[in-house]
Amino acid sequence: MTILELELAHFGKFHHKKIKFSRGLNVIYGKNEAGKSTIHAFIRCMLLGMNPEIDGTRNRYYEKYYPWDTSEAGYGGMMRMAVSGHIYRVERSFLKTASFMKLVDETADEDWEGQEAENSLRDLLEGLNETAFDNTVSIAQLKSTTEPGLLTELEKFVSNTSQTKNVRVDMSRARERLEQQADDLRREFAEGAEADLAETEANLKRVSEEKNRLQDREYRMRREQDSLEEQVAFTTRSSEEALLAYDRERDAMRRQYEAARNNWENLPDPESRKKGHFTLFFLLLALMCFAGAWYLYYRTGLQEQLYLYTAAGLATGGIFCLAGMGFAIAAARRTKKRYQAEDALREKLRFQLKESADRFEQFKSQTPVSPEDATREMKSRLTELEEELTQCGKDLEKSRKAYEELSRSVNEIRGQVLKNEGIARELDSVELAMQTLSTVAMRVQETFGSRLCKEAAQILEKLTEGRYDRIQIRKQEISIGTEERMHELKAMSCGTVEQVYFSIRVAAAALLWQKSPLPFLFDDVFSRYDDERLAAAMDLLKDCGHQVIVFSSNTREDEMVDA
Amino acid sequence: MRLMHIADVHLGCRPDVGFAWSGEREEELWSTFSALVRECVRQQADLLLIAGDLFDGCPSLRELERADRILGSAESIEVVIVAGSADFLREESAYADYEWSPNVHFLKSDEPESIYLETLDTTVHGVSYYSAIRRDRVLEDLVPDDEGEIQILIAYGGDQDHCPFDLKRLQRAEFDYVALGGRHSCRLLAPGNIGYPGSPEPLSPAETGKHGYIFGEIGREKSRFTFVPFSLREYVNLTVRVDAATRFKDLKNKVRQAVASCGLEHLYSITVDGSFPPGKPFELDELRDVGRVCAIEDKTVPAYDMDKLLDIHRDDVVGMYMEEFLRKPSTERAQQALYCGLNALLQEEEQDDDTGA
Repeated sequence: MTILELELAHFGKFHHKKIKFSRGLNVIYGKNEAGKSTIHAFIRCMLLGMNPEIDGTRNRYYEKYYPWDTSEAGYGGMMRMAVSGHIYRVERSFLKTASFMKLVDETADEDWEGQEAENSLRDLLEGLNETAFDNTVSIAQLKSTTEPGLLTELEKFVSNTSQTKNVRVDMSRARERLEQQADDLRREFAEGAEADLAETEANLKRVSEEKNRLQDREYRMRREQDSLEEQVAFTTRSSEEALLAYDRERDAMRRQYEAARNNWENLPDPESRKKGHFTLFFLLLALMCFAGAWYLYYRTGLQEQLYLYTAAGLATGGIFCLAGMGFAIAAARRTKKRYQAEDALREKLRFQLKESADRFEQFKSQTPVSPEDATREMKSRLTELEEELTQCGKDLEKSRKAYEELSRSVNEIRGQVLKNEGIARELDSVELAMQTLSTVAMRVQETFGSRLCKEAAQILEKLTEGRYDRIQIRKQEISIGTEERMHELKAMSCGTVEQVYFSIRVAAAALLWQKSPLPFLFDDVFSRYDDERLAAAMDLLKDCGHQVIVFSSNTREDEMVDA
Repeated sequence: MRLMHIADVHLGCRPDVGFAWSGEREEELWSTFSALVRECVRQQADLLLIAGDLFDGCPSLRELERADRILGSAESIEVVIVAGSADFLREESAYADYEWSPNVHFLKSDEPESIYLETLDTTVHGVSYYSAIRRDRVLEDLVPDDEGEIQILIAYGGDQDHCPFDLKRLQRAEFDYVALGGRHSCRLLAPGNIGYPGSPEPLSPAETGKHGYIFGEIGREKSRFTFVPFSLREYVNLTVRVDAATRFKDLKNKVRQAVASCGLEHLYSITVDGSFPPGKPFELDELRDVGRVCAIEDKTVPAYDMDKLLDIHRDDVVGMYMEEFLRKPSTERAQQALYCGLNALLQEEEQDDDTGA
């Protein structure tokens, strides 16, 4: 690519300023504050565009190069360049309120505007971006000539440029994407799922065993309940029967007692016993009769029939009385016997009655247990059981629900564990991709780094007229020299250091833009060069094959060009 | 004498927990069990052997009564059951004490015992489990006795944690039939009269293939034992291929057709294989409504034309990245990493910072 012409319509201090360039070496000379950096910036902005704001902070270019003269509205300009045989024209307006971009292919008579134009321009410039521009096209003065400073700058430079080798494929972007992917995956990964699973499975086992225990318990209680109910029924029945039998027997006993009492009461009352006076009466009578008879006998001697008959009658009467007395005695004896028998019977009956009464009393005190009492304990146990069963039922229900829930949990967590495995595998792949990307990046750097040193060494050789033809950049040091001997850069003079820097920058640009060389913009780079070195540099630049635009505040370069 | 041999029914199990049809499946285990008993009657079998794991765990009284109702209703059939590793017996549980219908004989002892069924002139020897694991080789010492004309052994086991046995010894014992339980898929062992029927209904997506029972005829001269498929549903593995040109609609139709031709009632594990346009993978979750889908596995890879890419990116980072992988042996992990990296590297560039109109 070659810049042919610039027109700074309104840019910084310039209005309608036109500058033409040649294809080879150009020198723009101007004292300080003449506007060299303005032109430099203009070229940059025409190539890359200018966003007035980046993330809310004002783009420093926008403010800095805002046109001084605001009498005419406008902020922008035009650049004409040659790329791959065609001539292109870029027109831009940077105004926030009216930004505008147009790309015209003057050779093919095509034009584009807006985003399309930007894309086409980028394609033309092979993806040149800000980093690439600052690192390759634009070469500013070496900020520091001390080795650490230079090393840092070179390291940064090498790393940046190596990564922009094929700028359409941005490795850092790719790495960001992979990291984002990895982060997303890590977020999806359920930490501790395996531990959760083990814990939940253990819980499930525990709950299952508890459920079984409760089931068994319920079963045993039901069995006890059934058996107790049977017992209650049986005991109630037998108790009722016992009670019935008891009642019957008691009745029988009572009747017995009452019969005995009846008998006792039916016995004749001893009070009503008559005293037997008859014996005495008959005896007296008999005596009287005999006495009478004897008197008669004594007084009459019984001569007369009357007296005889009377005496006989009296005697007979007396005998009858004696007989009567005998009967009476016999009767009295009989009666006595009877009374004795009666007494004995009475005694016996009395004894029997007493016994009967005692037995009755005793019997009464032996009432059998009522069904209520007999079954009281069992019934209370049954009530207990009922309560326990209800509680057990509730516990069992709870246990069953817990079991179901845990089953579901276990399944869910198993699914999560499986998912985790998948995520882990994916993560592994992503990490491998990142690793490989890093390896590739390093290799690119290395490759580029070594190629860079070779190219730079060639340039250095020309510059130093053969004095040094080798450059080596190691981790913490740069050394230059020849096959025979290498010297650390920190031992070299400032001038040499500048030359090394120059070689590296030019070599880098050459390497990166092999297909379509971009112009070099040297921004006041040679002010510290001595005349010899300057001459060598100019010679090199004349033949390097790139368009070179040197901004200088010194006339020396100008003179050298003409020479 | 005709017999039906089932095992590993796992009544009470709830397969596919978390899926919509899970509750249905639990009930189907019962209905299939019931249908099996009816089938037993229909086939005029004399003996039903249940070789362990009839239940999925210790059964509740309700489950026992339900099973007993089913078995007891087939009065003409003698049923012999043993307990297995999942439904091992526990002392003083409803299960251990339960009194089954008169035609159901549960060999409850953990020492080998036998029962002589007079009407069939058959002796069945068996043993039950009182814990989930028993490693004693009790089955190897069992031999037929003199009582029944037909001698059968029924037991759960066969691997190192469940009554392991040496097959040769079992063959030498010369039982007319050995009814085993403990495998969820059917397996008939040589010389043909030793078998596992497998679960009558499959219980998890890994148990693909047919499920049912073993039907046997023991005759005077010869005997025959065959597997009869009987399950309501099967687990089916389905693989569908796609390429970068396939649209999701077409993929879904393909899957629908496959499911329809195989049977909507079955339970599917779908694997999608092939490639997709890079950066636009398929949203496979939307395949779930084509039927009863248990699992979807995505085996698709982005359709990168490797040769073309290598050519285009010969000199740059992408090329170097690809070279890294081509140099090493290809593993699935490496493949995935390659695709991952390519995806990250080749994605459309977003707008860079300061450039912009």
